[in-house]
Amino acid sequence: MKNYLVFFGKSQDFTIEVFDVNGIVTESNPIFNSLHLLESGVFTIDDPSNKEILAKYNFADDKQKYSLLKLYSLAQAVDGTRISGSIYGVAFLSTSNLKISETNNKLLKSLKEEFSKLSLNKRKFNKSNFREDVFKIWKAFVTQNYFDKIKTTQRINIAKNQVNLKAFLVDNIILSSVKFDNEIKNTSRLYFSNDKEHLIRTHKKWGDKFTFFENTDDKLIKYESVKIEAKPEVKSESGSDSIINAYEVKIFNLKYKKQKISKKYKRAKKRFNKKIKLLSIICLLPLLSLGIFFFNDNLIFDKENPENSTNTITKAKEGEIILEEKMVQNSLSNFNILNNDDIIILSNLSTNLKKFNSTKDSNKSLKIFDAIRRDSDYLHIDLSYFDKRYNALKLKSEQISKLLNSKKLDSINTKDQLKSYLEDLGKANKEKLSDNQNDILRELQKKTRKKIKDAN
Amino acid sequence: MSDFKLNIEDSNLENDNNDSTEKREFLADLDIQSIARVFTNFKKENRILIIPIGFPQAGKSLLLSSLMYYSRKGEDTLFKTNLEDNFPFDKGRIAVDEMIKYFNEGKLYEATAKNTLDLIGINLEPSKNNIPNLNLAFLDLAGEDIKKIKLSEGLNFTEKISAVFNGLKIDNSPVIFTLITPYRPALLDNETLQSAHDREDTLHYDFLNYIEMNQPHLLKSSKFFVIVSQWDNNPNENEKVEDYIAEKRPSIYNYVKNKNVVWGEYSIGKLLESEINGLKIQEIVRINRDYPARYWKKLYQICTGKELDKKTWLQKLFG
Repeated sequence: MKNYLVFFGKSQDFTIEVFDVNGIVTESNPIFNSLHLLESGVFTIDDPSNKEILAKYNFADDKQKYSLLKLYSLAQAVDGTRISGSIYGVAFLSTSNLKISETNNKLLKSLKEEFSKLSLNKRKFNKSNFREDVFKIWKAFVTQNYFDKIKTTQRINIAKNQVNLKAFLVDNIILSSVKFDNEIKNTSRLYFSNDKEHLIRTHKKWGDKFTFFENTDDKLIKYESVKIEAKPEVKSESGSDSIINAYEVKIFNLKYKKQKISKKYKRAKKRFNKKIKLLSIICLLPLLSLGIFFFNDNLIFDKENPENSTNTITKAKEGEIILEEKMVQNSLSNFNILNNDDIIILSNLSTNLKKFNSTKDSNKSLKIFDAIRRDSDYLHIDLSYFDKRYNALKLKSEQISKLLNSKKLDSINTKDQLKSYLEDLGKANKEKLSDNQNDILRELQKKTRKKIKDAN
Repeated sequence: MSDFKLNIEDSNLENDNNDSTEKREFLADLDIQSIARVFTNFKKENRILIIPIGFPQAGKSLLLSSLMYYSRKGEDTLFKTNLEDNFPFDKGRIAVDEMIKYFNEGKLYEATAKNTLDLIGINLEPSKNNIPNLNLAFLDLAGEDIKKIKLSEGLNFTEKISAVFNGLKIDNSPVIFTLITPYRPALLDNETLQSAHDREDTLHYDFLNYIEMNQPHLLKSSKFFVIVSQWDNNPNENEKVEDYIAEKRPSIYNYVKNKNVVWGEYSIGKLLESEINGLKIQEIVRINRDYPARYWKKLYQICTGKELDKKTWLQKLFG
């Protein structure tokens, strides 16, 4: 027979420390293969309100039969927030049958209390590695010869079906469980608890795989799930904490709902806008197609009739020239392709066009137009619109120059020719001439009148 | 107390004993050979196994809870799921019901006990007719069993997990390993945050190395997801998951960066934390639906090569 003392808990990862009477047992010992049973996968912790649980398992591995008696309850990991499955406890493991006895139960209870004092802060582990703490407890246990007090019987009964288990609702797990020790003959695992809600929840989870019995009128009655449907309540020792917590949850939920609704609204709005845009595009498509069709026709038409294309302005009268200048300016300003030099030249061109329009002096106009032509050539602007006016001005200028030539008067001898020449000079006088031309004109008029007088 | 009479002969206890002989074992209760045999059928059933890998408290079970909750209660119309009830999925089915119940109540699902092999059989049926159904199985393992793969813990899985791998490699059945690592790992005694990050990094490196060196047959038919869980703890909205992995899990990053790996972050939702009587209690107050939706879509795409939400040009036009 060999007895072991085991401390276990989910201090961070699930940790097991095993001792025999001589000291710590290392993980190479084959008993470790079965110690996963310490972490209950069936009747486990699921709520902070859970009470302590006592359990007995009889089981076997390939070579050895074992008996396990364990006492466990809730303890949260040192850096964790989980409740479910967070356990700590103490167990005896033996190669003989461990009795559910008052002595064994009380020994486990004392060991668990000491474990709690050293390694827990209230119900939370204060360290992830509790080996040093439990070593101290083991030492005291050995010194006081408590290993010898563990109650066992020689034969371990193992039920045929090792997954079968039973739980009992008892008043006191330490004292009342004792009378059910023999139940292990019929089943592989026994659980004892005085937490009925916990038993009910576990039964609901596992169904027939987890049955429990309670004492009613001195009889053990199997609990039937149809009887109880009460929703378990989380009982907190600190009432105000739980009320505040509940309100916080409500506030969070309401905020969440609000956020969700506004999110939905935004999404719907976005979708609506998207669809409106799409609809507009779809409606515009036929119109655009028609537009493109006609625009293309015009282009074809214009190519075939170049006179009608870009130069609709050529039909404009001279008096409308300011409008045309604006058109030139606007069409250029629509394209942001000009550099600074271009802009300066364009500005000069605009000024010169204004001067060209306002100057009556044909010679001056011609000079201005030379500047306009230079700038427009640089900017690749078509000036054909101004050709007619430019030609007229040029002709007039040439005619005036011929008229004011002093040799012309010398070649005229007859009285009629002189009178006709004087009339021409009079017409020229109505034109805007340079100061020099005005002086020549006045001098020629004088000479012509004198010559007519002499001829009389 | 001494007057208390037990009337065991007449009680229901006896009847219950008779019934109990018919009770069947769960997958984890079987011997190694039988466990392995279960997984030899996966290829025949055209079923893909997904195994979450991570340390205790990495969020493996919570990821599964979130996925199961979404598959049942999500507002997604892209697919529906059916859960397998029968062996070997019976215990997994119980687990799923619990997961969904816990999620409904805003509670965190219980820690997975050592030696657990909860196999969840779930069949995904897309809403569209022209894309195939997908049969999946999720295997929920205890972090305590997985961490045995670390060099410091013995560099080997438990016999039961090894049995699963042995069964799978008979037919090279496809497996997706979902490596789950928390944004902020839990700290052990006297451990700095950097040491905890390093510990996480080492675990996953040792796992990847183990698969490559010891299970080369399995590797051929395996795919990997790397998921940073608890992403809601991340205060930096601009941080990208790949950058996080490259910085905090450099061994994983270097191992898989040139392989066909899916990176991603995950959050089950927003948690409200309170302290009541010395216990820290977290409650899920806002369940996240985006992450599970993305995971399901990606999983379907990886497994079938098709997209659950592929849209026609007309659907794309009208949103």
